[in-house]
Amino acid sequence: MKALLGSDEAGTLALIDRVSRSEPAAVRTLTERLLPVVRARVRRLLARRPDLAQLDANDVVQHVFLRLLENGASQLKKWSPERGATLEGYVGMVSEREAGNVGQKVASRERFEAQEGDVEAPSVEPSPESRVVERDTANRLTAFLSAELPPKGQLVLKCLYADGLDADETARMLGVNRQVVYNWQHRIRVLARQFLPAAVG
Amino acid sequence: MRDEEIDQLLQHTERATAGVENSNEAPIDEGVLLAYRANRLSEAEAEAVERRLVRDPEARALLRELSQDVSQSEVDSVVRVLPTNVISLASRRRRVVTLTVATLAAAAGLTVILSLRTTPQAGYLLEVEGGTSATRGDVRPALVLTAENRLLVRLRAERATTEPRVMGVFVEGEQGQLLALSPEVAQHAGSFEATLTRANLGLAPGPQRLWLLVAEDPAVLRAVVGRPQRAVAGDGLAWHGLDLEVRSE
Repeated sequence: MKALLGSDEAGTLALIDRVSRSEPAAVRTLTERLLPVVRARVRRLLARRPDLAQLDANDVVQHVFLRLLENGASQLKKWSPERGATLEGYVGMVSEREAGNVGQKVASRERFEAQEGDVEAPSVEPSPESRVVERDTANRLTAFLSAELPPKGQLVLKCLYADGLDADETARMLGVNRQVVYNWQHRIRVLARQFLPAAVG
Repeated sequence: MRDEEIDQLLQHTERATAGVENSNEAPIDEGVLLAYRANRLSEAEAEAVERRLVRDPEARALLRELSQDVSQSEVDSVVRVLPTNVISLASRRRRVVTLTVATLAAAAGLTVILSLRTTPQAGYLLEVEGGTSATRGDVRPALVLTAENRLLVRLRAERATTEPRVMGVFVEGEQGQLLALSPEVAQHAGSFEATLTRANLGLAPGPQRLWLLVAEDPAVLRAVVGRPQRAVAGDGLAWHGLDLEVRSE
């Protein structure tokens, strides 16, 4: 990703420098740029960690920004493009760490209780619907689609059928037109139809 | 098979084979995901990202979160809680303003004209037109706002200017913190005119303290929201105070 990293790093470093001097416009610009990243990482962390569920995502986001920008943005100034991560990737890692720190105190008691008490484990039983498709058939269909579809098509398959997104959500996530998603969905269905007679036979 | 049946089959297939996905990899770089979504990667780079996304549900979830819009109010909510050592409320070139308040005498029911002169450097004259009463000789003439009347509040630039400037209108909340109001504001050659009505201010009946602030950068107006006016008054900002009584009739 060298080309990506090199494209605007001088501008990014200049922006961080302005932020370190507390220029309001620069702080706002940087906040607009990094808020999607911080928010995404915080939300994902809270989603993965039930022990942090009681934390308010907005509060954690604000905490992360304080950490990033305090003391002349010293945390941000530690970012160096030579280390390979984009600013967004670096801030994502900082967000993960800081959000974890925020939740540490809150989570410790719940973690202890979870260890002592009954843990509600996710069900490992297959749903009734999933029994419709035998695992062997499912594995072969998956292998067939993986072989026939390029990565983009496989990604649309995952978004639509594994993650349960609709066409609009998938299009927004992938940064493509909705019609692109429909086209891939059509191709996926055609391939599945091709696979079925062979599988039954 | 109908499309719905095929879709059901594919959903069941994905669930049945979900265990083969690997989510134990190091988190993917958000900058790379955003570049992928913005179509800024080469074909080979994009394909590498897609392969990762196919096998990593957490990376897909992260990309889904990254693709959510960010509203200006979300940005505001972050920026306004940053302490003053993070956001300087006034850049060095902003000019210090001292208000000298002229006395005023007006009878009930008459239009009130206020003139609050600022220093020549500040170059703004505050005028208020409308209202139904005022106190005599007070530095804070009380203006009354009812359902029937409106106030025209002007900050008139003593010299016309084409420099970019914005005016914010604020009210002090119960704890003295500044809350942004959204009246209609017209601007011409550096002068401003805000039309205040009970409806567009949305203020509760009772005495209210309003503040007007002219700045060169909209970020300054956003940065003062939520802070006590006295805490941000000494930063060289051009504040203009106005006491108002909102009546329920």
